Amino acid sequence: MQPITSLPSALATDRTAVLLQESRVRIYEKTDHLFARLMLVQWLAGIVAALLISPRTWIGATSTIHIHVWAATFLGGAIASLPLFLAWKQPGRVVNRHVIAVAQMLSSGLLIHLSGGRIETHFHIFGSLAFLAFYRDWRVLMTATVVTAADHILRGWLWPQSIFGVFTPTHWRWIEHASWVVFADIFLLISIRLSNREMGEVAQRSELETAAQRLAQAQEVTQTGSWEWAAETDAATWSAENFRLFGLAPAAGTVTREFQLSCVHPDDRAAARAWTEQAMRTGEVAPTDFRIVRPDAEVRLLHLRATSEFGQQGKVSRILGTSQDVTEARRAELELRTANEALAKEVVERQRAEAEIRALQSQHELILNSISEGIQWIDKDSRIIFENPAATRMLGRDAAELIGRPAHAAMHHRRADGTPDPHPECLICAGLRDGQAAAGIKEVFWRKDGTSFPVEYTSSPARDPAGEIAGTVVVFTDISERRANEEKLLRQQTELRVLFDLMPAMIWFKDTENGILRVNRRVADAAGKTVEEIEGKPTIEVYPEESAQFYADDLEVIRSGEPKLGYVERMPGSEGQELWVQTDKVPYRDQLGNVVGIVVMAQDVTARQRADEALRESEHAQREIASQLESERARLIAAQAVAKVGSWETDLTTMVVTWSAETYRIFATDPDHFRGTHAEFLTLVHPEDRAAVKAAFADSVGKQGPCAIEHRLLLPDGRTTFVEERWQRFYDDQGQPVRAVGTCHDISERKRSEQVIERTLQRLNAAQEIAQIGDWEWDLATQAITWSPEVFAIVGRDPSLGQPRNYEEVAASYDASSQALMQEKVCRAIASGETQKYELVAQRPDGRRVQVQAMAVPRKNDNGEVLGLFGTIQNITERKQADETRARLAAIVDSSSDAIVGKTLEGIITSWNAGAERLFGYRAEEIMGQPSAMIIPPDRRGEEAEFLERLRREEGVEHFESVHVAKDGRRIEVSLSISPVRDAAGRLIGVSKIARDVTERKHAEAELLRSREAVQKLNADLEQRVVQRTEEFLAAAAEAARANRAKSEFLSRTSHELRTPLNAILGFGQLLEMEESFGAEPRGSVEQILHAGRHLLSLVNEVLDISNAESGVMTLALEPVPVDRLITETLTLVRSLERTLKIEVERVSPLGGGWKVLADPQRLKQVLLNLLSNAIKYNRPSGKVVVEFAPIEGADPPVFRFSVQDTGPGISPEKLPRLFTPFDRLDAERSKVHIAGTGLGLALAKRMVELMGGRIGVESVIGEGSTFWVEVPLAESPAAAIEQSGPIPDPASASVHSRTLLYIEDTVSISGWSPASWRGGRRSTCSPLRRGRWGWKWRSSIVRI
Amino acid sequence: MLHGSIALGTAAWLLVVGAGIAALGVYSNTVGRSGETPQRWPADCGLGRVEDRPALVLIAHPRCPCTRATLGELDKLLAQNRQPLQIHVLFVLPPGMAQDWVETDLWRTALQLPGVEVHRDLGGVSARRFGARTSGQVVLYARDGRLEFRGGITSSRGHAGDNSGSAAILAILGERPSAALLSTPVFGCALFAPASLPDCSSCNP
Repeated sequence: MQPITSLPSALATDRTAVLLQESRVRIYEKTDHLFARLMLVQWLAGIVAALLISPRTWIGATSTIHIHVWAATFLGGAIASLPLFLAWKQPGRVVNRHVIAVAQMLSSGLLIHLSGGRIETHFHIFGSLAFLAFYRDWRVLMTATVVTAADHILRGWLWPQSIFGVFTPTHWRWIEHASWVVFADIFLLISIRLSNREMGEVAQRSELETAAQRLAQAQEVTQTGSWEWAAETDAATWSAENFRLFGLAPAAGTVTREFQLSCVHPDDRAAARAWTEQAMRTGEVAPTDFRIVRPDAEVRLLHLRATSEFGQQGKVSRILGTSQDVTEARRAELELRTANEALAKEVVERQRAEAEIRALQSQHELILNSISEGIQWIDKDSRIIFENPAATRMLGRDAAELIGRPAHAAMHHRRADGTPDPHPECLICAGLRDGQAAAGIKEVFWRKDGTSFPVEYTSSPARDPAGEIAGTVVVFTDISERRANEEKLLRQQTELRVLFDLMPAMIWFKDTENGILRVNRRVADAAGKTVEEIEGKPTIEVYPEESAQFYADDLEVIRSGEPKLGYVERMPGSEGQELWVQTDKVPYRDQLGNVVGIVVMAQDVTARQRADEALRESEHAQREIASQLESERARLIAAQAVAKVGSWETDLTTMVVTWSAETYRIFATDPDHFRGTHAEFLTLVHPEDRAAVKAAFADSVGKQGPCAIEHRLLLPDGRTTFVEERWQRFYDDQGQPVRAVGTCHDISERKRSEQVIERTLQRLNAAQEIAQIGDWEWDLATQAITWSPEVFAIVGRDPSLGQPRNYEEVAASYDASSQALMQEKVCRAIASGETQKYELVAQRPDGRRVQVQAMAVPRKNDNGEVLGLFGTIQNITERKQADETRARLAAIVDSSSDAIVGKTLEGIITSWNAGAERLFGYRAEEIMGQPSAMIIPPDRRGEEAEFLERLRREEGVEHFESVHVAKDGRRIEVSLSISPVRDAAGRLIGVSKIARDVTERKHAEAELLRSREAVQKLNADLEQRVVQRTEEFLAAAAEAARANRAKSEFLSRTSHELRTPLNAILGFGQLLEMEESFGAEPRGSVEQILHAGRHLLSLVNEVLDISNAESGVMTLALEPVPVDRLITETLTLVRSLERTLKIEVERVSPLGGGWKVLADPQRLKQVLLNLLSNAIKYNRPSGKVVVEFAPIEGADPPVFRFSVQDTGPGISPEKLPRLFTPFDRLDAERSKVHIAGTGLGLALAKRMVELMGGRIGVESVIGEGSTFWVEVPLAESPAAAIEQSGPIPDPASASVHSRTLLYIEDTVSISGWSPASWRGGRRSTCSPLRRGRWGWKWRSSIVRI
Repeated sequence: MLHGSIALGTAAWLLVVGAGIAALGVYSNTVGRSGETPQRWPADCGLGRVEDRPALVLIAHPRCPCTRATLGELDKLLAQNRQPLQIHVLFVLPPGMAQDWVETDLWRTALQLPGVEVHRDLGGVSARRFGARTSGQVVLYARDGRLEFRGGITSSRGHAGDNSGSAAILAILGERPSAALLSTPVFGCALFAPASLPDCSSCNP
């Protein structure tokens, strides 16, 4: 053990640093979370503030969400998003706090901007810095400072009011703000520095405390006490655990060495003393154990370790040691040792028992492995627990694959035919359920590879000691081989039976008693019975007695045991006919050699017997036929020569070829030089056709019918001829080809003719295609119609549809009129036998119409009878169009009034239209072919040469004017238009000239010029006169306006002066009217005064209104006016007049109520009242007035119409224009019935309606009545209507304050009114409408001054 | 890899935030529309004019949040002004809206301003007479009825503080009238929907 010299201070420092770093990380994480919450709060607060301060932005009456709300939501969210993410995802990371610092400063910037740069919001920056100081990381403050400084600089430069709230900040304003930030930074940095220092000290203290605690805990856990002995004081300092080890209560202070030794067991005390002395002397002691005796007399065993420290003189100054209570450990070691020994014995015993078990198990395994049947142990849950190698082999699976798997699903899930084998029907599973043994013989087990094999198995359930079914033992055998053998045997039996039946001979198996055991089908057929009717029956029962001879010797053969073979005898057939049979009868024996039966085989040889007889008869006839064949052959050779048809025969087994004489001639080959082989024949075939010939011969193998091919021969003299080969193969009885016999036809001449025809047809088709001519043919006998390809192309029929099947299909290609014409022409051609020409219009499937010229030619026989028709059709569409175009152009040229002249480049005239004849006087035949110089004066011929030269240079020639000469020598002013004439290849071949006589136009232009000058002079005079008249008119208008104003002013002033005394008259009249002491006569006088006064007041008011209207000072207050209320009020006002004159007033509203018009309600009511009172006053007795009001449908802008219809005498048309003239009563004063009026009402109504933007009018019929109408705007577009009338004062705003009205009257005439009369009289009230409108409430008092 | 992602995310974040602040700036500095203001006091504007003093008219949308700053600036302007001045504040009442639609906090604020006459402008007829299209439009007519100033008295939408409009008005009222008509941009909500604007000839007699 090495002495300790010092503590590992470096380790302690590292630990402190770790603690400090952990503390910082905790602060970073907590502050990240703090800012995350702060960001969230700021974001939500921003949204709330935006919603409260500026929720919406407006456009007139419509609004949308204010951008500040969106900015607070999305921009604020964006600012907060990254800090939130980082704080949530990776709290405590360096990047977090810097990002948070940036976001917080941006939030401050945004807040300052939204507050308009208010200085108060700058405190958000200081608050943010203070919060950021929570990180205790000065770098974060630097980041925040840089961001806010940059924000101040940039915005102070670009948008100062956003950051400073002023428009023109000083240049150093940002420095001022930045200085405050730096000021705050300084304090925060100092705070951070102090805080970090405190954190370091706290970490150091924490580390020391933690170390002490851990040491105490370690000692307590390990029951190890520590002690320290100082040499200077010879005393030891014990740890608390050491006191506990010695059974003493922990106490402060030291213990002496003697006390320590006194605690040691007396038996160990000397050794302990020696151990301590050695330690004090040498400083090196080995660990040792001492027993101690506790105060409670308990003896404990301590394990002591010690190390020393040396002082300056090299002496031991201090011993540090540990004491560990090892009493239980030593005791446990002893007990463990004892237990180990017992356990070792147990292990040996168990190993022996296991060896015995393994041996027994090995024997069982050997047995199971050696058994060829598959054995499985399936538990009660149908799972395979064990299987032997035979089972594994048969099932094609490793045991590991099957063990533990459900047995049924693994190997027994389907039946042999592939259908599912349901689990409930499984015998093995059923055995597991009911405990019954089961055996399967018709089932299959399935291998791993999906194949199956038939099995025979047994399932024997086993029970555990408790009697419960523990599982079942399944023993199975693959019976594939046995099953295959069985099937093979069955198949062989079947095959034998078939062969037996197919044997050409009749076969009987009989027993020794001549009973029939088995026969084949031929026997049954010969006997006319079935096999079942014969087998098992005695022969005598099957065959009639007549056949007894045939089977009589069967018993003889049985008895003798010798076979009887190959003798022919007669035998009766099933229908009584006689058969010849060749019979063999053989006895057969058992294994002991005893004859147990006989086999009889009889073969029908009747046909052979008969053939032999026929053969003999035919030999004679053959000889006669041979002589006839020879003569036939000679005739054939002659015929071949005539027909140029040779014959040949090839022995297909030797490929030897035999040719006839004509064949040699066709092949131009000498018989002496032809070796007669098929190969040499091929050398004569043209090399280009040789492969085809070989292929044709090869393809004919196996064919029964004739084959043919056409090919060329390359003759020895170099000529090429065409031949047609036809041949047929013959086969022997086994189907093998034995020979081929054929002919060879020289078809060279036919081929040449066909080639000529082919070339002719090709040329014809090409010509038809170019000329768009097709030909057709119609055979009347067969009704067959043949079209050439060009016909298909012209009528647009798809050639793949084939030729037309009948005349109707042909006719369908043309339009209706063409079909009729075609039928007529065809019938005429057939009837008359003459060629017919006609034009048709084909209607193509694509919709195009094609004009066709057709010709039908009858085809006759020698007797002149028409056998059919043939002919052509030609597409003449383009030609027709060209003809039409040409005719149209010619008509244009001929009908043109201008002269159109064509000429060559040399100036020779080539065309001359009628216009040219009229202009120049030459006829076409006179001037065609003459030089154009005939019509050009000598002084202008240079122009002609010039424009020709310009046309040659491809330059255009503008219109120009020139002079030409007519036939009579007149000089004609002409306007010329020159154009080049080009051929189809674009070459310039001439020019065309259009000349127009402009002589008269030239004269007219000169005349026009002279007239224009005269007009200009006249205009100048007129303008001067207009100026003079205008000045006079303006002066007159000013004078008229002044006079009008003076008149209006006079009327206004007069009306005012009239109304003042009238008020006095009416007021006092009303007071008199209320006087109850008056009798009837005075009251009548008062009523007359009031009536006259009111009439006069009405007259004055109307004069005043008309005056105001004419002077333009009348103002209206337009507003939406409910029509229903307006009409009701108006009708109420005329109710008394209505009753007085007994006129019925009807109110009609076709479209219902609820409408509002844009008008001044008082003025409109005044207008309607005027119209209504007129209608009542000017009506006939007991007449009727109809007031109708409704909007005019479809009017734009919307208009509402009021009409008042009376049943009066009507107004004559000549008076209608005077109707709305002031003071014009249309001679009403001269009528018989006097009707009061001023003649101002309608004039005033007209002006008021027009001021309201409406119209007024009248329709009248003499004797029926009149209808006055007024149209005013609907209140659908009030804004537009309001603009026309000016602003509407808002009395409602005034209604919120009470107002005092002071009315000062200097008129003596009303000075006699008393307050009582004011309050109680009718004048003390205001009309409800006016009071409601202005909101006035009268509280009156009169003061006499 | 993680550091790269964070750096990329931070860059994208700064870009988005910068773009948002820029968009906000563009919105704040978007000038509202103006019509033709008559060069003489329109007699048919529905407002009475006292001829011995200049007349200042502020046309406002009663619910425009930006106009809050305008009223603040008007308050400051009135505090700094020492000249007799007739002041009208017109709150535009769009057609079809109830009378109390205009009685918002802006209305109440305007009522509290000293010497200010507050009016409802039904259908914005009077506002059109003054050629106002945007809330916050101020017009100043001299004693003789001549137009001396038109425009806004905020430097951007909803931003109180120094502005050239207030400075110009104070200069004019301080007997330092400019020879030329002084005009400043107006920032605020639109008084009328574009479709409801009539032909200018009908609103500027």
